Amino acid sequence: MSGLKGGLWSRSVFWLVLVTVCLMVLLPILYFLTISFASNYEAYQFPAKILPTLSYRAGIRYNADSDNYTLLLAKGADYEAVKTTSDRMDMSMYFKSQLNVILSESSVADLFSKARQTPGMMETRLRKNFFRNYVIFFILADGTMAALMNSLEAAGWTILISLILGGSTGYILARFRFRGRESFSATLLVVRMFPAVSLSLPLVIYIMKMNLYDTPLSLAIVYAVPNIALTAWITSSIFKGISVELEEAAMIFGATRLRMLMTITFPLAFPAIVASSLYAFLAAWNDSITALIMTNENPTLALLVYRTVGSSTIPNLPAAGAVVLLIPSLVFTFIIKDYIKQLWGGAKI
Amino acid sequence: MAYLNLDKLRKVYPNGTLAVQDMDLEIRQGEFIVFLGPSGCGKTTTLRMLAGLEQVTGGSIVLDGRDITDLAPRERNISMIFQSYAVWPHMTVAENIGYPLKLRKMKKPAIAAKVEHVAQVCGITDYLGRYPSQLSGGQRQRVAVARALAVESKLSLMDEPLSNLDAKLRVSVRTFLKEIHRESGATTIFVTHDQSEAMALADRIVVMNGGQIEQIGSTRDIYNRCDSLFTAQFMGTPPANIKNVALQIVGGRLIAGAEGKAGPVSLDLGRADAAPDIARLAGRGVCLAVRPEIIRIGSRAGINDVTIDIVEPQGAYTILVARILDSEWKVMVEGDPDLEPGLTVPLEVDASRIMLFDPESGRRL
Repeated sequence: MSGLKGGLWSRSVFWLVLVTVCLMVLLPILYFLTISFASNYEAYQFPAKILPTLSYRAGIRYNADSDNYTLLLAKGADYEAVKTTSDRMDMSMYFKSQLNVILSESSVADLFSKARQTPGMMETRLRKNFFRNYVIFFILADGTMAALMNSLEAAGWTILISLILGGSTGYILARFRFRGRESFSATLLVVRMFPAVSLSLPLVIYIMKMNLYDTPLSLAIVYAVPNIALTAWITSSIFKGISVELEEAAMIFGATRLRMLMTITFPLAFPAIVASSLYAFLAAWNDSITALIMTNENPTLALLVYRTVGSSTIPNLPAAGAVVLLIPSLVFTFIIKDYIKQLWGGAKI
Repeated sequence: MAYLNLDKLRKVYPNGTLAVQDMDLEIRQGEFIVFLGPSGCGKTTTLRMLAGLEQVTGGSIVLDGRDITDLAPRERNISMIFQSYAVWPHMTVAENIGYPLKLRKMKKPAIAAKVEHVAQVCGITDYLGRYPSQLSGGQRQRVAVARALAVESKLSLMDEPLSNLDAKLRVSVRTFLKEIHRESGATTIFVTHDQSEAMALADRIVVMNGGQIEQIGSTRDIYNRCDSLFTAQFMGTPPANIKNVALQIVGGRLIAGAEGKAGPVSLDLGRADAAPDIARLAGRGVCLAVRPEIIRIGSRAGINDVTIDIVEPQGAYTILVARILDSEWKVMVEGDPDLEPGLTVPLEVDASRIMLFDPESGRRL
């Protein structure tokens, strides 16, 4: 931060770059969030809104000649006619499906009668049901809760498998010398070169033979493959950083090897273990391709969102699903961010 | 029966390196033993075999009547202090000291009492709640000592515990270790390559070289009665001056002669009857070892006149470098005499304190 003292010029550049980078990252996310709260009507509007709206400025006009009502929505300074009907139920349905406004038929009838008494257009405010997209995504979209559970279960298994196999590999790479150790650790990364599809397709046959098809565990097995290698790399570098003498001291002072691992090595390697589980979690949580191949009746949340994108022409519902998908990873990352920080800087071992 | 007995202890590493060759050693209870030697001499390997951290290739280790050769480290009832302190960074000082006691299934109040006691002995009572990262190197080493004290082991091992400390601290922790040993009476094996540490601490020093014991003895023995040329060259700062010479008695005086580049050179070692042990070897070729401090500036000019090349004052003593017997020898004189390079002075050698070795085997004659 000493660069900040370097005068007005460099300070201005620093802030300009900082703000630009922040905007580049934050604006799309903000827009995405807005979309997830948008009604179908709003999603089609151009120019699109950058912030989500809570209500509409609207007007209802009684057309005496045809005995029907026209709904108008504010667009800039003017109003745009969006729906003309004489039927209360029709209007109520339109409110619900296109505007995310929940009004019962009797409320609509009240509006209509008021509009009939008002010459010209009756101005009103329609309150939006803000979280309707999310409610639809969870309750109306079929099996969202089940998919969420599947995702969590698959992520949990992935973390467990990666940590047990990758962690022990990392420990062995860090502590034991054996022929071909260097080439072994290099080849570990080769596993990561294979695309998920090329792993899943052949694996699906074995998964079926093992009677695991369409289960979160089967997904975890595939997710774990590249993650074991990554976990081994991350943990081995941390294990190498833990002085062997700390372990030897524990064994001399009365610990068995297992006890030593549990009370000395693992607590000291905790940041690496947490970082590896984050990677494992994200890999499992974000995948949809493998889930597409490996599941049938029991999709994961990511796959469900993916399917919603495919089936819907309006982006608001998939956006809501994506935000739902985003939240657990965000929460998980925030919980463990302190440990990650410890890993990448200021580790005291 | 010795308290600790190493019998033909042997270590061969998988790559074929012979680290320790058939080492025999007997240690009495309560002794402070120092393994001293250059790096790679097998001293640390031996210590690690005692600790159970290194597998024994051959021979046996018997501690207090029990064969511990193949036991796991935790089954040996030993303690160890490491060069890197090896205090666990994620535990407080009190937890560090208490951890071994917890593993020994001691009750909580008993652990607390013990921790309090050893912390007092080591002067770290104020730091019990701190983490090692908040302590200095010297304080960390005290924690390691307290941890080792607390377990009341049968054998206390120390692997260069002072090497990571700065020079000043090293001396004070050294004194502290000696104090602790005097009070606890724990049988201790201390590994170092620093001879001043070894001489200051040891009841007996084990000088090691190339995986073998060169000599075992008290500081006095190791310094003044070296069994081998290696020990004579290794011990002492600066080490003994060495030269292959022909020993003769000429006119009642012992003369060491050698072939220099510009013809024969010689060194007068004084009257033959003053050092009968040396005189009986006259007439043969020997390897002469003369410690710098047994040479002094003589009073009779004409005997061993040499020109001083370099003067290195050290305060309490001064080291002179001069060409003697056509080699660069060091001479240590007391105090800070007024000497300058280029000055020619006569030298006298205390013949009763010189050491002679067989030029072939390097053993003491």
